[in-house]
This record gives sequence, structure tokens and C-alpha cells, in this order.
Amino acid sequence: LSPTSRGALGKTIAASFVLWLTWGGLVSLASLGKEVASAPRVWPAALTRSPDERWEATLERQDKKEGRAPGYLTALLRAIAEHVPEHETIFVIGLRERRAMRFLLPVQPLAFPRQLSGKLVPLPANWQPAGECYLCLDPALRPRLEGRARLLASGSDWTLWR
Amino acid sequence: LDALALMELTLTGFLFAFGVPLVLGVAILRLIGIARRTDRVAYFGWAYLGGAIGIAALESLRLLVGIRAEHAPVAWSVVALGVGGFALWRGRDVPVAQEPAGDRVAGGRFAQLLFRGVLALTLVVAFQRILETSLEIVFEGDEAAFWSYRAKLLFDEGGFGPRYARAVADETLPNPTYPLLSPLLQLWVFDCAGAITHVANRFPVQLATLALLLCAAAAYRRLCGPAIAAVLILLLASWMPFRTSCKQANGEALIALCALVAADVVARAGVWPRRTVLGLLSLSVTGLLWSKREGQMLLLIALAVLWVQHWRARGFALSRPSRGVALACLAPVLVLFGTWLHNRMFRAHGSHEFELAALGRIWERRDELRHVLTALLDVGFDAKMCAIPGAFALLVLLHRRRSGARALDFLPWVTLGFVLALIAAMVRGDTQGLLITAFTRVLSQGLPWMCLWIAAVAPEVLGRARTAPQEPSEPRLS
Repeated sequence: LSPTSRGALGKTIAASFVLWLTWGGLVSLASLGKEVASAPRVWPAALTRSPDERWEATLERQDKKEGRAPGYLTALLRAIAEHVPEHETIFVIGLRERRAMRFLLPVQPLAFPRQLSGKLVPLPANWQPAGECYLCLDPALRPRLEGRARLLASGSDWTLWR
Repeated sequence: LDALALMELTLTGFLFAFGVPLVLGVAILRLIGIARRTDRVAYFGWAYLGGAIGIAALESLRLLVGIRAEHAPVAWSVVALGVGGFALWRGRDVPVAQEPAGDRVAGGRFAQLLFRGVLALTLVVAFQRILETSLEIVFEGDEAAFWSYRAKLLFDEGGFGPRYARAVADETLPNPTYPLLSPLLQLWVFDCAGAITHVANRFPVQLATLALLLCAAAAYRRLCGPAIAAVLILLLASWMPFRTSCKQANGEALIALCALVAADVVARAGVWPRRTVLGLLSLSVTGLLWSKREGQMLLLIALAVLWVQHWRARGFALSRPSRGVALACLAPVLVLFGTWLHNRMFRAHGSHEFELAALGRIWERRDELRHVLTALLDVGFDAKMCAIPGAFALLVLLHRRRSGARALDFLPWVTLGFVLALIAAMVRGDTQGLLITAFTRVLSQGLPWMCLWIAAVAPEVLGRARTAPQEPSEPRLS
């Protein structure tokens, strides 16, 4: 390496570049150092927790994030696994907008190979149950289902019907 | 061994899942003239890329031919050993790419130690992020909604059957037009585990972040020496979107890795044998096109910029592509054709389709344009986010003498094109939603190559030019 001649702008850029490298390097180092400090918590847990514990921890965190009672998602998934055969489609009803399906997105991959469908969102005015599996999220729809469908399972704000 | 079982893989499953791609990757590298001595730091990063593309190609074959999942690990192990044996036999005649002495910016002993220490630290932190994520199953965000969901559909049905078609048709599978590299890598883990997994399938995609760190560190060190390279990989590893990439099985790290390797190959084109340049370029472009749809956009922009540069230097004359170039184009073209065929067969529609006609509607949606530009400025002025893009933009504007980065002259233009395309894509879609979910994430794909360009101009910025010529005036690609 050999030095080359530079003007005032070049020297300013060089000085700023060195400052940037120093500042960026130190801030990044501090941030990575903080992460490394959590190693005693992360490594043993990651290398000892059972698959079931990982499921439970994930679902509990999601319940907490959505402001639901602990065990909400576990109960819903358990009901789906127990009562709905694999590869069957579960139609979600009782949501006003299709966008509202977003809150069920975590259920979709975990209920696989059962599929959740939003085809009945919003629910057509003259809809009648027709022998399929329904996840109802609106208690006001219960009268329309009772007598025409069989209740399979229920939770705090959901009911599962066929 | 207990830890492996806890992450849903037996020892045999683990050896299949990671050993087979490693053998494939090493064999592919040997066949294109890359050995460990070519670059000891980047070697395993490149091997990851070769292995990922190799195993994804074999898994595509499994889906098309209908090979059962339980037979795939043994079948592909035999294929990998066969390719490995062929590479050992044929590889002896292939010259190994090596950097000429004096071509790399040297550093003192302290700088070398700093580089190694920082690289080790960033690798440990990235691995720890992978471990931390393994405490939770794949269940939310894009990685669950379509990347791993698609792998589950393919595993469940053993191919592109009626249930897969129904999932595309009734939109239970979002973004069905996305390319298949990440789902195929996850499918391979399902095959090795013999069942759908909820943690282990993230690993092969997450490993792209480790490969990215290795490839970036090697590329930066080559251009600006170990001390500055150490700082650049520190910046890269601590950037929030990179942290997210370590934690999710999305396509961002794959795109960033492939784009960086492609740019690095262009920078090394003058000193490597042609076979190596074309081979690694082919691998990286294939990965780029197979990772996410931004890859197609990025490649189109890069080709346009390179063509304009070629036109300015030599006019319209294009030399006839050689057999090597045609062979190098084969894999990317196959991936493009496969993706197109898939989308046509299943009548798949993406939420982020981009048509040129949409550019005309940007003015009509100028309110959205204002939001996007504000978001861009937010990145520019956010202390946690601006370090790399801000420095890159300022250096591009202020530092005019760039003989050290001549081979990478196209990168600022590609970045400009990429940002403009990103703005256009944001404006024509659900702007508010995309700004929250996608903007910074997609922008982050460009960080490694921005750092590469910074690394290339750094010696000149600091008033230190090379004594030995580093690159010819133009890369020798054809």
C-alpha cells in the first residue's frame, strides 16, 4: 500500500469515513456483545427443551401477544386434531372481513394437513350449513347452526361444528 | 445426540440432511475449480450455495418423477457420493482458482487477529440466533404462511398434485408464484426426518446467514484488508434485518448471499480461471432466481446496467457467447422456465406482480409515493438503520475517484435501480401494509453488496492505493 495525494474534500471524506467505521464498529460490537451475554440462557434451553415444550412455549407466547387466555390456541388445535380428519377443509365463519382471517394464520400451518378456508368470510346472508366442518367465531351464529350441525368442541369464543 | 432428537432429527437424519448437501457443494466447487486454498474463509459459504442448489435440484426431480420421501435420503446420498467421486476423478484436471500474490490487501498481525476474532464473534452470534429461534416452532409470519406451508403441502402429497393445486386456487397458500428454493430445502429436512418437522426445517435456510457472513468477510477482506473488513461484517451482523434473517426461514438471506457472491465473482473475474468465474456466477444467479421474486428484478436491473456499460465502452457489438457461457446460463434458464411453467400450470397469481404498465399509475398514487419516500428517509436518518445505506449513498455522491472499484462500477447503478423498483412496487401495492412488512426487509437484501462496494473504495478513500494492480479495467466474463 502506498499513500496517494488528496485534496481538502478527500481528507474530509477520509476523516468522516474513519469516524463512521469507528462509531459503527463500536456500536455494533456493543450490540453483539449484549446478545452474547444472553448465551447462558439460550444455549442450555435450546439444547435441552423437548419438542412438546417448544410447541407449548410458542403457543403460550402467541396467546399472550394476542391478549387471549393461556391455552386458547392449544385447546383450539387439540380440538381440530381430535375432531377433524386429515385433509379436510374447515370453513371459518363469523368474521366480517377476510382480513380478519389474519388472526387465524398461526392455526393454519399447525393444523396441517387440515386446511382452513376463508371462503365463507363474509358469510352470505342466506347461508345454511351443508355437512362440512365449520369453525364459528361469532356466538350470534349459534342458532343457525344448532339443529343443522353437530357441536364437536368449544372454547372461550369459538365453536367447532359439523 | 439428545439435542438432535429434541430438534426432531435422529443422528442419521441429521447426517443425511446436512452431509449430503455438503458433499454435493464441495464436489460442485471442485468441478468448477474451487478448492479450500482458493479462499479459506469463503469456501464453506460457497459450498453451502452449491449444496443448497444441488439438493434443491434433486428434490425437484423427486417431486417430478415421484420418488417417495423415504427413499430420497438414500437415493440422494448415492448421487452425492457419485458426484463427489466424479469430482475427485475429473477435478484433478481442473485448475484451482487462486489469487495472485499481492492481489489481496494485506494487513498487519493485529488486523488479522481482529478480523478472525470479529468473524468468529459474528458467526457465534448468528448461530446463537438460530438456536434461540429453535425454542419456538415455525408458526407465524411468511416463514409459516407460505415458505414452510408450501414444503408441507409438497411433502404431504409427494408432488404437485390436486391438493397442492387446490391450495393455490383457493388462496390458502399465499404468494404461490414465489420460486421454490426455500420450500425445497425444507422439504429435504422433512424427507430426512421422515415427517413434517416444526423446528429443524428452518436450519437449512437459516444457514444461509452463516454462509453470507463467510462470503462477505472473504470478499471485503480481499478488497480493503482485514481491519476494515472486520468493521464491515460487524455492521452487517448487527443490522436488524440481518438479525431477522438469522431467525426466520424466509428468502432474504438467500437473495443477499447470491447477490453478494455474484458481485464478488465479477470483482474476481480478472484473476480467476474462466471456468471458475462462469461456474460460481451460474450458481449464484441460479440461487438468486430461485430464492425470491426480487431476484428476477435484481438480475434484470444488473443486466441492463452491465449492458449500458458495455454499450458505452464498446458500442452495440456483442461477441457470440461461447459454449461455457451457454452452459453457465443453463441452470438459471431452467429455474426461470420451471417457475414460469409452475405459475402457468397452476394459474398462480402473486400479490406483488409487477408490470411495466403500473409505472404509469405511480403519479395517480402520489400520496402513496410520498409515504414510501418518507419511509426511505426514515431509514436514512434512523441511527440504527442508516449506517450502511447512508455511508454508501454519501460515498457514491462524494467520492469520485474510484479506480480501485472499477470492476464494481455497476453496483451503485444496480442499487439505484433496485431502490427505484422497490419504490414502484411499494407504491402500486398495499403501500401501508408493504411499508410495515416488507420495505426494510427487502432493502436489506442490498446491504452486503453495498458493503462490498464500500470495501472496494475504502483503500482510496483512506488515501491508500494498491501497489499491485487488483483488477483489470473490465471483468472478463465472455
